[in-house]
Amino acid sequence: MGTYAAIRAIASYLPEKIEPNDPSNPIGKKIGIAERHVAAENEAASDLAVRAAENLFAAYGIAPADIDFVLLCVQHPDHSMPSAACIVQHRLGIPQSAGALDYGLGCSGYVYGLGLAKGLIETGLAKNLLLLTSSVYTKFVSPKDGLIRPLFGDGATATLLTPVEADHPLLDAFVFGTDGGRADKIVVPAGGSRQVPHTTPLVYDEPDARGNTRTNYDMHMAGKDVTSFTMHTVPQLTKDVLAKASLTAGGLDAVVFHQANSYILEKLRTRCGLDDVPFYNDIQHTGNLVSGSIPYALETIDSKDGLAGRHNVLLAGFGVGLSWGGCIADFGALLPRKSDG
Amino acid sequence: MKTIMELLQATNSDADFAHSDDFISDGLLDSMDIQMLAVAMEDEYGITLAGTDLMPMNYTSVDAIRDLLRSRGVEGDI
Repeated sequence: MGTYAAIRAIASYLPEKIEPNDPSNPIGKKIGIAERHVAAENEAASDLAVRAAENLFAAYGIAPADIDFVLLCVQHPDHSMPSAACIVQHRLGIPQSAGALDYGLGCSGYVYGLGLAKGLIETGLAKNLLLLTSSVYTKFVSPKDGLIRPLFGDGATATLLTPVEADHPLLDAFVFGTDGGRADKIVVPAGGSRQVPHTTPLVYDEPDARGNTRTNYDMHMAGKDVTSFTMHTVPQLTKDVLAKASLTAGGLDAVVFHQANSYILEKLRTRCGLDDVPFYNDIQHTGNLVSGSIPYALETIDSKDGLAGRHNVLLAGFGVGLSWGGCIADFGALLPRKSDG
Repeated sequence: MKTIMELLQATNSDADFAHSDDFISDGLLDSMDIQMLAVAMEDEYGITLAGTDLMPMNYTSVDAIRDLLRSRGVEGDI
């Protein structure tokens, strides 16, 4: 027996405002996204994260006073300083003795957060760790961009991790990867310290044949290059995680990849040899939630079919950076929701 | 080496490419399919496709795709 970090509870929050995709656009059907939740003008990343954490506390009867560490995965925090995690700590009433920090990753972010949480918990640096993701990408995607806009939705998730006594690690076989040489493949060029906001004028790209355009303050994505990255990296990542865990695909209880879009996920499923494994693919009413897509999917699986009986779940995130990460998660220590009795 | 038709069928197995005069206007290939097909062709033929190579007009037929590949130095039966 040993003391290992485990996922105990997951909850989420999606903004009230819904933006439907154009039903006449065949791409909308292909990517499997009918509508997306969009943060209101006055909703910032910390607002969504606080709501997700409040939902977690309410659903599982968790006291904010018990949290001793907050990790917030966010690419667009409320301010360039301070960390949004500090704002979240105060608003949730988490003790001042807690550590709190932001880390900036996109679609790989949840797996990285699990790895960081495992490190903090299994070295005794944290006990009740709140791992948050909050994405407000729609604020940084041009409304005149019919290629990228239909893909992304906003939302936040909250995951509680604590130490548990077990005969094996409940978060295991982590594999991480980074290729900053392709940092420009998914990028918001202006607004950071390279092109600071108060000296960098707003400039629109030349519209494409269909009139799609975006500014230098909006997200740019090199579609073919990102497809190439995904189709090459994720199968190898899957193979590496399985090898590290001494598992085969047949030994998996479920696979939850980052929910990029349905088209890519179906292609990946086949390419990764996962056709016979329970494979989550559903973002019809959310769109791509970036770092929140994996925990949102896990919460959905738990509410529909239960997660607690699943001991070998392959998680894989991949995207902006370019960055990727995968692991095997055992959900045997999941707490019952208060409504579950 | 796989042929263009084999890569097309792998990209969209439901489509009847053999009986289409224009893959784009017949709705057999959309922008996402083109990206996926381009990645498959890069892997298969050892080339890099970028910029105007990804314009739909290059993917209207097997002949159009072959012309694109030939312009990128791909030889042999494709």
